[in-house]
Amino acid sequence: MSAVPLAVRVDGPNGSENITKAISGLRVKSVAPGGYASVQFNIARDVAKSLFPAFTDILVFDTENGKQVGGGRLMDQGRSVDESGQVWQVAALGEGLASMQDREEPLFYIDSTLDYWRMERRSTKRVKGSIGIPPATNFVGEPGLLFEGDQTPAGGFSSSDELLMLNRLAQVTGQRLGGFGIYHREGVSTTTSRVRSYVSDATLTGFGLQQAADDPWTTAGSAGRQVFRTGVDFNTTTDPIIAGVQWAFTSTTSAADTTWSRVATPTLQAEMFGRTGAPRPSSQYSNEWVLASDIFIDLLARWCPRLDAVNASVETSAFQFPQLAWIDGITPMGVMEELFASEGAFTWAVWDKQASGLWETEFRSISTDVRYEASVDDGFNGPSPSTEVYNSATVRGRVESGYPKATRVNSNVPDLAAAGITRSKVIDMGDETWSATNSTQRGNQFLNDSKNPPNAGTLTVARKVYDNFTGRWVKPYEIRPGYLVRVRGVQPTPDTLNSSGPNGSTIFQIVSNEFNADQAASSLELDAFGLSTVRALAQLARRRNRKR
Amino acid sequence: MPDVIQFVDSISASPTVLLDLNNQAPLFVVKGGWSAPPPGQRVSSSSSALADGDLTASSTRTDREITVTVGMDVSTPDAAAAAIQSLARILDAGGQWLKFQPGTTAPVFFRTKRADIEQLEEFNNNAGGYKEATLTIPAEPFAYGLPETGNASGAVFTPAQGSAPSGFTIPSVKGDVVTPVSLAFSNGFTMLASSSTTPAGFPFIVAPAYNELSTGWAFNNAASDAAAFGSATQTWTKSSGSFVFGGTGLLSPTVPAGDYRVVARAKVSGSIGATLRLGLLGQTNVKSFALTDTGYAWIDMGVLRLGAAPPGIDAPPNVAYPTSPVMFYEVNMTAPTGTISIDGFASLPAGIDGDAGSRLMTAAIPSVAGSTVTNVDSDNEVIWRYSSTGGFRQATVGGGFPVAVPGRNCTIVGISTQGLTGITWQYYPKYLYTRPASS
Repeated sequence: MSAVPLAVRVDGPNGSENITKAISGLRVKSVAPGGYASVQFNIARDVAKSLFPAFTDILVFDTENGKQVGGGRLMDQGRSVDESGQVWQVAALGEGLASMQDREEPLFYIDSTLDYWRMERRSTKRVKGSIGIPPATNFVGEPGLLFEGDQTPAGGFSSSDELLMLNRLAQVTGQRLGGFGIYHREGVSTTTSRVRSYVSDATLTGFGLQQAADDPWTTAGSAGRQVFRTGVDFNTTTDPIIAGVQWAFTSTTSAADTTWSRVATPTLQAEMFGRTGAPRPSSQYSNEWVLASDIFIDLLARWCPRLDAVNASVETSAFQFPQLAWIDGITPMGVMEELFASEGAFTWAVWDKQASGLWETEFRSISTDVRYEASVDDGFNGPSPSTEVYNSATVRGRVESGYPKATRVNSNVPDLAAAGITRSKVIDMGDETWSATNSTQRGNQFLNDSKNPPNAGTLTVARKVYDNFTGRWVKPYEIRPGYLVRVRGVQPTPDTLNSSGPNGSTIFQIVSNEFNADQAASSLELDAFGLSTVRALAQLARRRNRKR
Repeated sequence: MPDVIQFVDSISASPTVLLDLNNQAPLFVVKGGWSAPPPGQRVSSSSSALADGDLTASSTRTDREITVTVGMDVSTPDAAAAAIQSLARILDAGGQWLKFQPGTTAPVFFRTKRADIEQLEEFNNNAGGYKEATLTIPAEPFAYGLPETGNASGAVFTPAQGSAPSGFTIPSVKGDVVTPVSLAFSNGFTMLASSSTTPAGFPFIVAPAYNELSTGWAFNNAASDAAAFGSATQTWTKSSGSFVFGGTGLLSPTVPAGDYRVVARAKVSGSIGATLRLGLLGQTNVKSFALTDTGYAWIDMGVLRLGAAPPGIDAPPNVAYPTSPVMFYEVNMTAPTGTISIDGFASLPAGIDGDAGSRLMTAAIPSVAGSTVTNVDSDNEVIWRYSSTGGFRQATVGGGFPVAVPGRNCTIVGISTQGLTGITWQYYPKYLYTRPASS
């Protein structure tokens, strides 16, 4: 056995340089989700020398097979001088983690809440607009956008009467609309009273104002739910950033107790980008839900120019998200964390820097096949805190109308049932992502993950291990997180990954791999990130203060 | 003949002497005054209560420490002061070459670092000012020998079809330990690998007859194609049906056991949604690669473990398949018609079992106008390309620079679209202490 076969290269604006011989204390880390997470090393360098250019890339290669095994964007140049000399403690953050945190901006994909609807124009006192339920004794349903016609003073409505309500959410977030859907029902059927749907640019006039539908009033409800789509019902020649609903009259119309109209669940969909950065076609907005896989591609194309969106390997996810809006701002990393709380079978990663200069990106389902075979011979420790076991969860949030709601889900945990204990937790989804289906999904996923004490732990790997996927023995730093490892020598406890019978081995999911070149060994975190002060502080620093 | 111990300006058969420590003009090494023990080892090992013995995960060498005690043949204190000054200047500068030749045919050169006069012994009742200075000189772990050079002119560097070896060989590498090999040649390359495993040469594997073929597809094992190696290639042509899957071919390369980076040479007839997969029979989760070029292009299929070796007592990775594993490759196309041409697969060593000289690098060599030379400087780990009219440009490199293992042949093989000519190689053999006459 000879030197650790790694080489380190620096890619700056003035060219590349191999710095392997000049560095010490090399540590290379990757995580799931995320991919390459960090590269850290010390380099003896005069502190008077100029700084490395900002956003220099640090890449780590295996010298035997030439593959990249780590890398990231230079973040910290850590110059120091003390009695031991002048040392720069250099740290690079994985390009995936860095790119996905570069932008924090208001963002939405689909919104059905009534929060962002406001009255824009109201012709006379006879015309009343509100968020509410219609004055009908047999009405059953949630509040919506409500038009009511006042019978006094007498005379009814003329063709100059109108009520206009607008939703400017997309204008606030700086996005264009891709879809707009409504359902409406009135207290009386008449063709002179109209419900009109609009999308518009900021001018609200001329070509900027596009009418998507002009419906008569009907007591039977509109013919199914109407969904207006870019490219079909409106175009993007101007910027459709405002959605609107207008109640108007083509000729004199009398008012009565039944002069009301309710627009239910008005749903806005933001225009989404495909891999090349071009907007997606109209078919994207036919369904009033979004997939996590489509959101991932959109984030790459929208905000991550250094990640290779065009060639990204993306599997189609399953869960249909009906509500995703973060008007207070969010990073792409935050978006993915929210999505994975409900779509737990998927992960994303950014790996090698390619010849194009863009970084290889993937979004994939977590494979249920065991990839690596290892043993505890080099070291293992495995705390299994039972305080992480729950059999009940309440997921709270607010529905579209703004009413507070909570979904309660339960699961059967034999150990807790036998002890006669109920352990429950509240999950706060706020109203940015709450929906009936998503809250149930979130609760069920949480309970599924909390059914057994986690087989969390740390495995030290100093030797090659077998990789079932590639059919080779891989070096410790080639072990990729986000895959399963079977570890011989650990008494198994049943969880979602292991069969119930003891079979002398246990299957874990690898959450992170940190290779320390001085020790020539990797430390794998299994099933869950280990508890540490450093990680807790990092999570606190990244945590969004949920305001709604 | 006294030992030659001199600070010189370069590794050369006749270097300029900067300071002679042993010619009595005025310095000489006292009896027993030379000590240059081999460098120590820096070992990373793991042990636990679960198994006997330690696992050595890595080992490297520490710096060597050379200790020299010199006296001075002087008659005045001023001459002694001048002698000490000459020592002080050259030791403080660091980065010197210390030539050492203890009566052997060939010298060795230690690369020294900034050093001290650790001890200065006064002989106060000596009117001539005689002193003895003990120098403690840190140096690189291994001494350099005079460079070995050669050329492989006429070697066609692009892999040739069939079982003919490709690349070139540096025979009977000299020295005590692994040493970097520097190369110079015309044109550029995308991938370069070194290996010390014999037999030399890594064949360019011809894609064999198909193993499975879907309806609507036709396979031609020897389609004429002037652009293919040997002017013949294998084609998979889809003419009807909606089957995406084209077929599989099986290969069983006879290579030394270990990891290989397999690179396919293939092209397609147009934008036909073609993909190629390559793996080991029985392997799951094999990645697909898109084929988009209408002219032959090299597609990196990744690293596979190939070759067979009988099971041995060694712990992995020297345990290999008892019989050579069979590779399969699979072609797919989404368009209703089209042709995929696979000229073959090249396998470059990427970690052959027990081969301390197995290295592979990828490089992006910039283009430079004029008659160019590409220089792979493995000692300084940089690749540069230059011409007298186009200037210098530095390449972007990934992976490891080529090295040679002493006592073995070193084979260099690679992928180059233009082919490499005018190949010259050079390495500095490295020694633990002294150099034998012929190695």
